[in-house]
Amino acid sequence: MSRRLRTMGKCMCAALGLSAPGTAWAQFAGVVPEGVLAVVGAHRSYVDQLNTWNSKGNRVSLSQRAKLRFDGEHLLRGEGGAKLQSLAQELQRYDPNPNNPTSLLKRLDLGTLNVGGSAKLNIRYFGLALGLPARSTFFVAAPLVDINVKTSFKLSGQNNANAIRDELGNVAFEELRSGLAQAAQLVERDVKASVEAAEYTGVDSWRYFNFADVIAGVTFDIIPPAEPTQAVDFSLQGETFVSIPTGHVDNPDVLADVGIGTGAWGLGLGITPSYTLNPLSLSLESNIMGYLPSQQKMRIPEIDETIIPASRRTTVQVQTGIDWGMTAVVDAKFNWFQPQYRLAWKRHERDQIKGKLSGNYGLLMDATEKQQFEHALWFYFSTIELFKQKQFPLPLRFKIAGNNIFKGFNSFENTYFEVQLVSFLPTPWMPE
Amino acid sequence: MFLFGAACVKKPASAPQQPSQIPAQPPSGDAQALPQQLVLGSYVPLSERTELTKKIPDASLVDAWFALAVCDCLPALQTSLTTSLNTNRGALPQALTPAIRTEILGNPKLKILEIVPRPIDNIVGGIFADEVTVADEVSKALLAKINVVEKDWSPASGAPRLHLDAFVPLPGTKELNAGRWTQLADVWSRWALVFSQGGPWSNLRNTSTDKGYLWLELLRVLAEGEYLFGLGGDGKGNQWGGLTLPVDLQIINPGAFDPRQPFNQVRFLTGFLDLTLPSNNSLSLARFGGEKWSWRNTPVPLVEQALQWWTAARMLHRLRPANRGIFSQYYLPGTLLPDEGYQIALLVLPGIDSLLGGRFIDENTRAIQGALIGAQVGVVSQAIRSKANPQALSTLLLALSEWSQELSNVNDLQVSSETTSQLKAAPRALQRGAQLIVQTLLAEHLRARVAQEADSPATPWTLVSSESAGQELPLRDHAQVLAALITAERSVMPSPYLRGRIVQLANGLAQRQEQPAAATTAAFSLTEALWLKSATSLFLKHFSGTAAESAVQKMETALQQKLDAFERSTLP
Repeated sequence: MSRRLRTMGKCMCAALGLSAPGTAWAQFAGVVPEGVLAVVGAHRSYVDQLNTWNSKGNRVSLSQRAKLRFDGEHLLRGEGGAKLQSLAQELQRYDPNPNNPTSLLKRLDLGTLNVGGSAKLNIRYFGLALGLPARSTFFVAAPLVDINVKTSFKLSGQNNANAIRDELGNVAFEELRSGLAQAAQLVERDVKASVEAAEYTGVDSWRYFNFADVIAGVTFDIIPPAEPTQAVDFSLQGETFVSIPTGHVDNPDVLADVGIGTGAWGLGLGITPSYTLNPLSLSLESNIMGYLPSQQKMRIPEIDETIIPASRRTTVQVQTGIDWGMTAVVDAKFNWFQPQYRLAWKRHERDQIKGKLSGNYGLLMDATEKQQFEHALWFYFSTIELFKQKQFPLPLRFKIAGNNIFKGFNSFENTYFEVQLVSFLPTPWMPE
Repeated sequence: MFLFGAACVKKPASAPQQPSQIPAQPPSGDAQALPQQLVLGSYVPLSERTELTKKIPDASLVDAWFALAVCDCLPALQTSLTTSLNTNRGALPQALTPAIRTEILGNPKLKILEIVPRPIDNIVGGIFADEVTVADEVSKALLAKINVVEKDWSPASGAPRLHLDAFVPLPGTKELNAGRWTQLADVWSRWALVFSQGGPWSNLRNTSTDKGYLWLELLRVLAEGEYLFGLGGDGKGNQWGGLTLPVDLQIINPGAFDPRQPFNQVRFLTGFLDLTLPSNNSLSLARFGGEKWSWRNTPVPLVEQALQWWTAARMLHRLRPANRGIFSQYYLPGTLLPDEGYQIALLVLPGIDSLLGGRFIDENTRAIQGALIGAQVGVVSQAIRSKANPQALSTLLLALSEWSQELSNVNDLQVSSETTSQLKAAPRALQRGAQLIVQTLLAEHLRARVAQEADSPATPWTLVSSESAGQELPLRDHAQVLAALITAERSVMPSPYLRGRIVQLANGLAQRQEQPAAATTAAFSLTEALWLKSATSLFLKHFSGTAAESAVQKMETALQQKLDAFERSTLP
């Protein structure tokens, strides 16, 4: 159950896109004129997530995905906790063929656990970009994440544990009879207790307010755009950047936490060709990021159990999969207004996880392979031209944006809105 | 625990002197006086156990007697077998049984022997009492006792003297090898028959001309029990008898049961024991004892222990104060039976607890072992790793069910308050053992005969071996397990789920019985017939109106006819 619950948490929060490829949020300023310092501040707010995509690309309602059947078969797999798993195992001992539909195990049904919850997520990021000689810019950006996850449990449906107990009568050991009687009174509190018994914390809620992975890099023009802007123009921009693992890595002992960071150093490259036909331009942002091996703590399932006991916690070697991304951008530049439409494809290759403790590592690795398609509408409002004409005291750029993931594989569907403000400041190194 | 209140050994005034002589080994059974067969159709002589075992591998003589005791459905044969026991001499001369030994030593006419030096006591003893005289006096005393209950009864002329030798071999036992020995499984099966419904408590006592023998065998059981546990003594600290072994078998010299021993030193009875006598003279044996028993270091089978425990439960049932009814007067001092004789049965309880918990039953894996090997019996990890078969499991289930019932009320038992509290706590532990057996049988040995229709209440189910790739076990095992499950369900573990399985098993039994292969089998053993009869009778009694009733009724009617025919052809 915990794995599903943990997935729930990720559904609600990993919508951040922090682990998704692309550094567009960090490239807030593009190539800044030499000696100019761009300072950015932004706020991104996420809409509650309702759907997710499974590995086949089918949209699945989050509430449906979070329904856990508490029948004999699922309990036997440990999805109701160790005690209920033990109960199911004991029932199995009374029938030569537990797979028979009328076996006691198959007939046991404690109802359905509906797992609900909410995640309030806001991200603020701050960054600096300093224009360097040779039409290059050094940038660094740090996202500050404020996430608050709350989980709720509700049991519904018929519970036939008492009927099974009565049917077994005195042929059952007293412990089994007592266990069935307790199972008949199963309430949400017991479910939470069984999760906590496996040494999980954060069953009800989890909050994180700290930095995610910091990005730093250099953007440079390979083929700079024409100055002044021509009616038709082609330019090529490159970038190289590193991802510094400062964000929170998924804690195997916290039920509802979310891996804000990858836990590994990453090195990325990007290239963006642009074709301009004033006032329109078409760009293709493409980037790739690889990661160095890292060590992380995880709980390793033996088969596919959902509550994994703390005894199966171990340190594993993780080779984080490569991130790919391509974004087609169409924008129009006007004097002070720049609308932009973005269509993106992002892919995260399968992580490789190895450890000394034997177990089902494949299950963990399968969940890491993701793919998603998203589109966004950005609107820039700029005072730069007005500043140049000395009609405005500061060169500022304000952005308001909406972003939506509309298709995915083993991924999430979410929407966020963002406001961003960049100010461009002179520095002593600005050429005359 | 004395069986006799008055001296019974007298020296006839004019009796001719005879050389004192006890046969060097017990005589063989008189096959002519016994049922001629133990099988229907194949006519295997009862007189040769080896041959019997060869021809009916699924049935030993012990099995047959146990099946007869559980079934309790051939009263005339039961009486015949019981009353024929006195025709065999026992491995242990009666002079060494505590009851007779006390009488001999207490006889005033023999007091002179106290001053006779031992090397010549055989000669001097012979002056006062020869073997024939002693045997006659014992026989007369036994008859006097029996006449308390059965007025004017006496053995038929020409019949062997009444005697109280212990460890009489089962009728049909012909060859005892050299020397004296006893097999305790024989003892338990003989006791089982004595305590079955066909014993002296049934209405047989009003019709049988041999009813006096039924009481004699009861006295023999009590004398054997007293000796087996070493409860008798000379009052000077010397115990008589005692064939028990410590449960860890670290010491394999037989000894007396001592209830004061710590729990891990509980003693129990098992296997084969060989006897060496220092003398053949009854008076010398009574005075000096000196018999030496040695235990053959052999595996301890669960089925043997289960048979013992079942028999002990039946013993308690028959002898306990609450069940004496109109026979209460015969338990009064100086009459026939010791008031506290039932306490012998209670002595097996510590052994049940100690042997099952951690020895026969591996509490970690819940595996029930079929046997424990001699010197390693105390260590479960070194036990023989073969699981108990359904026959052993069902025998144990019957035993635990009987004990659970017997101990459900212990108010009539005259034991200490500490023992009473222990006895009151015992049924729960016994029930747990029974529950484990049923769980094992259900999961490992029961299968639907038609897998696709396993869900239906009317689907026939069968019994399979867990080791032979699902091969069906013999009808006898099928029937025995069914009988044991019905008994358990009715007595200690009422369960709708188990009832459903029982109906399906009964259906399967009826289906197997009707199959041509089963119907034409020549060697249809008595044991098999008895277990089938037990199972069908119990089923019809407790499961009327169920899906299998008509099929089982048909089978039961046919079985009864065969058994009646067998009984008529076997008995004079």
